[in-house]
This record gives sequence, structure tokens and C-alpha cells, in this order.
Amino acid sequence: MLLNSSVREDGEIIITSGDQLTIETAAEFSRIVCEALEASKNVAIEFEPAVKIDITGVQVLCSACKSAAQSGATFAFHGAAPQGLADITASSGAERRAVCKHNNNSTCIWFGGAK
Amino acid sequence: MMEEAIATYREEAGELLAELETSLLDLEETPDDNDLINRVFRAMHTIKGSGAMFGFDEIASFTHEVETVFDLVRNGKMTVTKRLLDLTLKSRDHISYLLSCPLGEAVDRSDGDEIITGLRQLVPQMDLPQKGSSEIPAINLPGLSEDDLANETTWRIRFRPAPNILMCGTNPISLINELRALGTAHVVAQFDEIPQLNELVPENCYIYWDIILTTTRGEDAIRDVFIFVEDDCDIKIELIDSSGLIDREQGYKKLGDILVERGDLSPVEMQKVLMLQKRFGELLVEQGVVSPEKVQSALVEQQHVKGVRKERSEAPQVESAASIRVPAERLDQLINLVGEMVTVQAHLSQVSMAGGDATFIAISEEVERLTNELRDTALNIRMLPIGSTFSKFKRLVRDLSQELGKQIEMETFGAETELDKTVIEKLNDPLVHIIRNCIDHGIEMPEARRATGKASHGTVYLGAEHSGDSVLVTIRDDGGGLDRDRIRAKAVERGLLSATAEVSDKEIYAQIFAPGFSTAEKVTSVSGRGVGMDVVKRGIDSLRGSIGVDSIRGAGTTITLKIPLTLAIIDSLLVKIGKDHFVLPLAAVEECVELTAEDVKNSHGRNLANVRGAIIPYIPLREHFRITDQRPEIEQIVIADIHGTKVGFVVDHVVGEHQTVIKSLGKMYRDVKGVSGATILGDGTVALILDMGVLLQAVEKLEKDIM
Amino acid sequence: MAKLIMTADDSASVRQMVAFTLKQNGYDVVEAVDGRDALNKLNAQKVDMLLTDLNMPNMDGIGLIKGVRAGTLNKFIPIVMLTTESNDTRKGEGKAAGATGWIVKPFKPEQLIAVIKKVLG
Repeated sequence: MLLNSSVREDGEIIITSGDQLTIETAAEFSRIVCEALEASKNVAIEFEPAVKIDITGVQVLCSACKSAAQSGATFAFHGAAPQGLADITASSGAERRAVCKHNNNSTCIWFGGAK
Repeated sequence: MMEEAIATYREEAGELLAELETSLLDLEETPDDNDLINRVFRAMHTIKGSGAMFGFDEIASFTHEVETVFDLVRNGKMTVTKRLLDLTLKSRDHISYLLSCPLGEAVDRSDGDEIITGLRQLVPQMDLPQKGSSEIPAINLPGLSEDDLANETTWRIRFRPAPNILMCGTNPISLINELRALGTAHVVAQFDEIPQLNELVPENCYIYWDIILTTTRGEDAIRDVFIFVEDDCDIKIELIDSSGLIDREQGYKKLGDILVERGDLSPVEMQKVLMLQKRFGELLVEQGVVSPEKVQSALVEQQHVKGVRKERSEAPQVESAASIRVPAERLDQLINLVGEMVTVQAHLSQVSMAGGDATFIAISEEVERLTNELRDTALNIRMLPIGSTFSKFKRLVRDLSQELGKQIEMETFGAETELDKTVIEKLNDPLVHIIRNCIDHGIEMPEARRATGKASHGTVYLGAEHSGDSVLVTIRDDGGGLDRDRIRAKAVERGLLSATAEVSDKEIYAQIFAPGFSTAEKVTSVSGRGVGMDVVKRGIDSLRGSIGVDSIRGAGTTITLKIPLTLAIIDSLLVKIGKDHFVLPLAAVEECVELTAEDVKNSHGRNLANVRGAIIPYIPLREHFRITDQRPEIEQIVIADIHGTKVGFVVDHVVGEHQTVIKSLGKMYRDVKGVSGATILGDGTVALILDMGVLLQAVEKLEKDIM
Repeated sequence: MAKLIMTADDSASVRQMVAFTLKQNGYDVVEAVDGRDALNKLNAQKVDMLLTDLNMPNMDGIGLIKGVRAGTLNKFIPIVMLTTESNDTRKGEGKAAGATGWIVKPFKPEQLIAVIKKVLG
């Protein structure tokens, strides 16, 4: 599946990651997530199992999380977190163990304890 | 650019060679000193490494051989012997020769091959370097070069990439991975600067990193990682723990202190939170003073260092450089500016005093105080310990005494005495000549020494010490001493002294500084041609210094050079004769007394003044400089001490103390006797600086001629 | 999959030396003889990295770097410039145009590989 978004009947917007969330796709990814959060209070990502993620991908995820918290929307992912996310989290030193105020003061779902 | 780099390499290598020489000579005295051995090794290593980079392949391959041997010494597989030191000193000379050869042209390898053969013979058989092992490793690869430090150090690195770093193809994670490869690293990415989506430029980098790294590599290895991005990224590298640090407690800093050090927390906020008596990190987050990520990052540092310290056993420490290199011309420029500042300040003082406005005077006095401090500091920057020159002479003594078959040791004292850089440079040649003379003429052959009951090896002492605003450099030998009668006879023969004159020993000894003077029967390769000692005289004169000679027949000779600390600015006494200003160096001035017309009449034209019972001769400068306008009723005598003789200089008025910035005279006036330079006064007029010693000599000579 | 590196240089001998070293170290190589040639090829083919000389006819290295960064297919690739001397102004120009790093000529093969490994991660 390509990087894209679709609206479900209940109003939740599903974003499919495509095979890479990297600097080449960062602008597109950012735009899609931004539009989704403007259109819905419920946005989730479906990762390709083999998706490749770089620093820009991490930044879009974190930025989207902050934006969602601000507007009272939920921003999460469906299914298992892909290996690519665990890889970039470990290599960039992005692990969050502390609570995140942008995530209702609970552990970060993207880079935190969830493994 | 490349030529410049090569020139810099030559310069650096030259400095390394000088350092190498010092270490080797010191090593001769303490052959077990590991620190010295390491220094030799490192010097060789650096010369080799840079040599390869700049195309000095001969140097690189030759130095590699010597380095290999010292690697064995360093690892305890060989010991330092006299033969090894001889060969290494020769290696130093050979490298120096290779350095002087134009790049790419054929060089004479014979010396080098001989040295290498000699060195290989010293190496224990099993440790002979394998053929082909002399291949030079690639040097200066980013992240691959560097001497490994013996010590483990821990660094706090904050890496804030430029926003466009990702767009320019840099992957910060590969840089972080390079850091990880240097040792043990804890990496924390900071997210607090990532904005909300509507403000996000997706290709910009907002994340920055805190990295705590424990490594045996130095700071340069860390910097090398960032070589391509250091200009546009904000990279802070701080040493936070080292096995060499004095503070060897097992724990580590408190969390609050780490955050304050990093600039993430202000001390005031820290105090506020500390008052609340809970776990500090939780409190900080609760209070919203510091983000949880930053607290977490600081906790990581705390854990990391505590861990490292726990593991570590005590190890020898590394010296960290406390000095920086600055081009000499920049210092000269600074001194020039300070000189001009002093001149302008003098003007300011004059104007403010004349105006009489109290506030203005107060400001001007403050400026004067600051200017003086600035002057002292600026002059101090140029001060270097004279010891660097001393070590050169150790080599000279060693080589010359071997050549002449004499046994001579050199002892030095006061190597830490500081002198102006230019003064030290100009002192070099005179000292070479004096020491050569000591060795050649002063110290006798071993048999001769034993015959007179002395130890067979002679000693040359070279020392420096402070004395007021001067430095006394003393060169003393325990040789045969000067032959008073021979010198006198020779001086008479050359018409320098009259055969019947009553002259003191000092005056006779002073003859050795006359041009072309030599009592030596044969000219040796070392000295005896009669050039030399007059070079010494001229050199010391140009430094406004003086020479004293003392000698005891059979026991040795002492030559004392008195050198002013600096050449740029002196304290002086400003005086006036008629409309002209003159400047007398304050160092020699003792007091000022009045000279009335009556006193002059009473002395019956003999130019002698009675100062509290002592009869002091004086020189009327008005006559000397043929100043013809109206003589004041009461004149002033400035009494000075010149080489132990009290002499008065008669002037119209004493204006007061003055900071004199010395300007040299133009060609036209260079040979004018009694004037050593000029200075510009606050109001822009020029005043001549008088050389009291020369004035005195001129007057004495005149009187002798008349008698 | 072996990484593909483009070497752009007007000197055939330099291209040969670079290509030889890269292939020996397991990289695939595509050559370009000047800036124009390189940019044309880069608009049609995705590569992992560009190695470019700065002084070339028909568009110099600076122009090429700007062109790559303004394009689409290879917009974000690492670009290493070869400079004949450690000329800081030229290096600065290259950096400003979007270069990732540099290597100073003459260099040894192992230095080249070290820089490539550094930049490709």
C-alpha cells in the first residue's frame, strides 16, 4: 500500500505508511497527517511491516502527536509497531521512558515502553 | 594554500624537533622516565603522520623507523642507552635536513641509511621489524587518526544540527554511530523543539542530541566525527570526567548541578525546587521548570559517569593544554597599539590636568590606571621562559666538547626566568659565541685539569635571574680563567691601551670585546678567529644591555649580561633643556638635586657637585647638545648610577615620570652618540631618549684626550 | 544490493582511479564527464551518492550540486566534493550549495573510502 489516507464509516481516518517514511516522503506524509487531523478527531496509522523510517519520519510522528494533543484528537497506530520504528528509536536515542505531556502524561506510544 | 600548509608543517616539525631534542637530552639524565620516552615517541609519530600527508615521503618513511624503535622502548622491550640517544639525536638532525629539502627533489639518504642500520642493530633480534612493515598507515582520515590516549575520558556532547542538515545529505544517525564506535555512549534525542504540524518544515531537523561518551580517544577524535558539519552545527563538547581528574570520588554530580551546567536550568530555579524536599527530578517536571526529556537526559549522564567511575581504577593523568598559539605578528600589532594608547593617554592626562575639571581628571586617572595595566599585561604576553634557549646550548656543549675531546657538562639555573620574546631571540647569537669561547678557551683538556688538581670534567654554568627591571644572564666556567697579562700585552700591541696606563682588571678584560681581538695562537674550528666577542658586544648593545667580565686565573671566568626585560616601553624621566624635551631611562636615575648659578661658580669650572658631602661629577647637557638659549637661574642635576659610578646630568627642568614608547631613529641619526631612540610625547612633539652610559663614555674620552 | 555512486570529473584519470577504488570496495559506479552530463544522468537514474569535482567545464561542481538539490529524484542524496586544495572559500560555496562533505586532492584510496563510509553511514 502506498502512503495514503482513507476515511472509515465511523469518521476515523486511516493513514497507510507505504514502504518508507523518510526525507523523500516527509513532505507528503506531513501533509496527509495534517489534513487528517483537521478533518477528524480520530487518526490512526497502519504501518507496512517492512516500512523504513528515518529522522524526518520520527519528527512527523512526534509533531502530529503534539498537534493531536493540542486539539484533543487521538493519534495512534493500528496493529503491531513495525521493526523500522524500533530500529530508528534505538539508533537515534529516541526512547522515551518518562511520561509525555503531549500524550496525556502517559508513556509515549511511539518511542516509549511499547515494544 | 598547499604551500602554506607545507610551510606550516615545516614550522611545526621544526618545533617538534626542538622539543624532541630537549626530551632526548633530558632522557640522557633520566633514561627511565616513561613520560619522556612517550614524548619522544609522540613527536616522532606526529612528524611521520603529517609528513605523509604533505608529501614528505622521505621523512615519513625514515621517521617511521625511529618511531618503531621507540615503540619498543615504550613497551619495555628495549632500554634507553647512550648509543640509542646518539642515533636518535642524529635522526633528529637528519629529519631537519630532510625538512629543508625541496619537496619532490632527490635527497641524500646516506646519513639516514646509516642511522637506520645503527638503530636496527640495537633492536633485540626477535623484535626486528618485518620487511614491508614500514608502510605508512593512512593519516588524517576523519575519525581514524589520533593518538590513542592512555586514559579513559567521559565527554558530554550536545549536538544541535543546522536545520538544513538533512537536506544536504547528512544523516545525523551515522554521525552518532561514529561516536558510538569510539567507546561507550548513551544517546538521548531531544524532541522539545519539534513544532506542531502546521509549523513543521518536514525536511528540517528539529531534533538535537545529548550524548555521553566514555572513550580512550581524545577530543580531536570526537571533533573529527563532526568534521563536515562543525561549521554550521552547534556542537558543544565538554570533558565531564577523566581518570586524570583530581576529583576521584565514586559518585557524581547532583542532577540539579548537571542541568545547571548544561544551561537547561537556572540556579535560582534550582534553589526554589530544592526547598520543596522531594525527589528532585520529579519536582522539576511537576513544577514545569525543565522538560522530562531533559531531566531524563541528565539522569542518563549521571548514571553513565557513576558507572564509569565505579569501574575505573586509578590511572596516570593527561596534561591538558592550558595555552593557545597566536601568530607573533598579532602580538607585535597589539604591542604597537598599546604603545599608541600609552601616548594618547599621556596627552589625555596633560589636557585633563590643564583643564582642572575634577570629574575629567578622575576619568583620566582611571584611564591611566587601566592603560598601565593593559601595557603590563600586553608586555607580559610576549614574555617567554628563557629555558627554551638553554636546552639548545646543552646540545651545543655536548657536540663541541666531543669534537674537542674535552669533558664538559652544562648546568643551568633560572630556566623559568621570563624575558621578552624578541630579546630572547636576539640573545641567542651572543650566548652561542660566549659559550663557544668558554668551551674552547676556558675549559682545559682533561689531563691539564687533572695536573692542576681539578676534576677532569669541566662545567659551564648558564643561568638567568631577575634583577629589578633587568634580567642577569650569567655564563660561568671553571676553566683556566683569562690571562690578564696576555690580554694587556695584546691590547697594547694593537694600540687599544697605552703601555703605561694604570688600568683596572675589569678594563683589561673588557678588551676581549674589541673587534678582531684574539690571544689564541691557533685558530680552531670553534673559535679563535677574533670574530665573535665583538659580535657579543654589538648584540648586547642593541638590546640596551651591558656586559661584565670577571675572572680568576686558574679558577674560571664569569660573564654577566644585564638585559632589560623589554624593548618596547620603558619608565623614564622626562626633562627639558631650553625648548627641547629629553627622556632618561628611570631605572638608572637615583635622585634630582638643584644646581644654582652660585654652585657653578664655586666649582671653578670643574663640573663637580657636592651632594650631601659626596662629590659627584656632572655633565652639562645644555653644552653637550649646544643649546644656546637663556640658561635658567636654577638648573637641575639628575643623578644616575651607571655601572656603579654616580654621575649627574644637568638639565633645565625635570618634568616628571613618563611612560616612554620607544621608537627607533631613522638611518640618518643611527650613529649619533648618546641617543638611543626617540619617543612621541602626548602633545605630538618628539623627545630624544638619552643613552646615559654612552654619554658618560663620550665625556670621559673627551677629558682624557684633553689631558 | 550494492550502493550506486556517481563520480563526476572531467579528468579521465581521476574518474578511473575513483571508479577502480569504489568497485574494489563493493560499490557500483556510474561516471559523468562534466556537470551537465552528470545532471542529465541524475535526472534519469536514482543513485545513492554523488562524488563531484568542483572545477569542470559545461557546469562546474557548484552548479551541479545546486541542480541536484533543486531536482526531485536525487534531491536528498549525500554529495561529496573533490577539492584540489583545502580552499575554504570554495568549500564554503560548495557547502552553501548543499554539499554534504569534501575530500581534498591528492588523497589516498583508503581516505576516499573512509569519507564515503562516513557519509553513506
